[in-house]
Amino acid sequence: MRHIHLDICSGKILTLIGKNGSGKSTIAKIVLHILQPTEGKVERKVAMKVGYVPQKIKLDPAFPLTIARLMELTQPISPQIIHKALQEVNMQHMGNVNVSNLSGGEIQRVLIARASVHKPDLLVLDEPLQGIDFSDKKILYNIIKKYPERFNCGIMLISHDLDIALSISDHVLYLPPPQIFHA
Amino acid sequence: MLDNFFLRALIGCIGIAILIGPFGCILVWQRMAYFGDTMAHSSLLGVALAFLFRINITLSVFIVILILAIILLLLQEYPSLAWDSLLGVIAHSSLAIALVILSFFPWIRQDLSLYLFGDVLSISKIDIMCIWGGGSIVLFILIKLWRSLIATTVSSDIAEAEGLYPKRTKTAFILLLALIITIAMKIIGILLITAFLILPPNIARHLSYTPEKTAILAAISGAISTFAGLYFSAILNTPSGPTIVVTEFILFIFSLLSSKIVRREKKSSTK
Repeated sequence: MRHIHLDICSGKILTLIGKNGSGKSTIAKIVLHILQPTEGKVERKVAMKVGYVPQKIKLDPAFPLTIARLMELTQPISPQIIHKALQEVNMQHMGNVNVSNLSGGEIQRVLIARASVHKPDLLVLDEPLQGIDFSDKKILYNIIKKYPERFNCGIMLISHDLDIALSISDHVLYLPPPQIFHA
Repeated sequence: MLDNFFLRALIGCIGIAILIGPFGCILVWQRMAYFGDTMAHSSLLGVALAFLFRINITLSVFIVILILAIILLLLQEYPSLAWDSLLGVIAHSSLAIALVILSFFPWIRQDLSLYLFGDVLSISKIDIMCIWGGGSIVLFILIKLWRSLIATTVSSDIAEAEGLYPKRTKTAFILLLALIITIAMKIIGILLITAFLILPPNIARHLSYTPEKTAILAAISGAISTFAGLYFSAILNTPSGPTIVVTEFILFIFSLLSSKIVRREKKSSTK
């Protein structure tokens, strides 16, 4: 990837679209400081809070992790806030259920709720609704749509659901198919 | 009170069991059980190098397993290397190199079983002070690292993105693990350390729903099996380390069966 310049503004949703391998997740990880760019730089607001929903998580079935515990993975959160966040994604009755007993779609719902609990300034959602059926996708995209206003946060969304995702986005960045450079 | 060798063994081994339980949990959850085994096997190389260069055995073991663990962690970044094969190569090569080096010192051969199988009854008062004093510091650091370790187990990307330091945490964890293996090697033995690391978390996993409770239960089940194992070894006149491991295995079978029965009863009550 070369010559990429983008701003993620608070209160706005920026959606990245493109074919598999075009570098959408790589850009997200560079923005999140998980990967370092070979050239250029990423500038962030000071003391910025970040929320991240990866494409999927792989857990050992032996790992005893309830949904409530997953919600406070990186910092302690009050039970009331956890309940409210889970209620939004219709998972409030499952707080004590082990994560390994959830379907892929249910895990993604919980991860979306989890990323929003500490009111992030930037929310990066990497194909957050993989494995969720169409009717639920609409509901969850509507929840995501309200986040920028609620938390005054910027959202970077990566999605293949062009019809729904584009309807909630303020800006769209199309990444062309990958080019292979031969030495 | 500590003049009784059996009592010293009991206090020392229970200390190690409490210390090892939470570490074993992280190893099992991060699918690093074979990594712990590799570190344990490599410790014999530390013993051999200590004899070769006439340096302190404990220090040599700690340095060797720490260096090998850090090399392995760096190699883990390369997805093209088959991780389990690499662990096998390091574990068995280091063991073989150690045995070759030790063959030049024929007078040590009879002591080799001490390092391979340990000798819980040789625990001294200084060992007890090291286990409980050093162990308390190690546990305190582990508690400080706990949230980051759990977050890293779920997703190192989430942990990194949300302001934790998964790489730093993992390095610190490996350092502490190297320290524990060094302390435990002489007492439990190189071949049985992995059993001490892996069995208690697997006993506790059937009885708990959160990482914290599982870690505490792993420490408790390790301590109970140590107590029972030492008691049976004294009555049956069997080797202490292996008897403790057999006791842990029996507890594991019990916890597995009891969890299956509880699950079946729950299912039948909901029908």
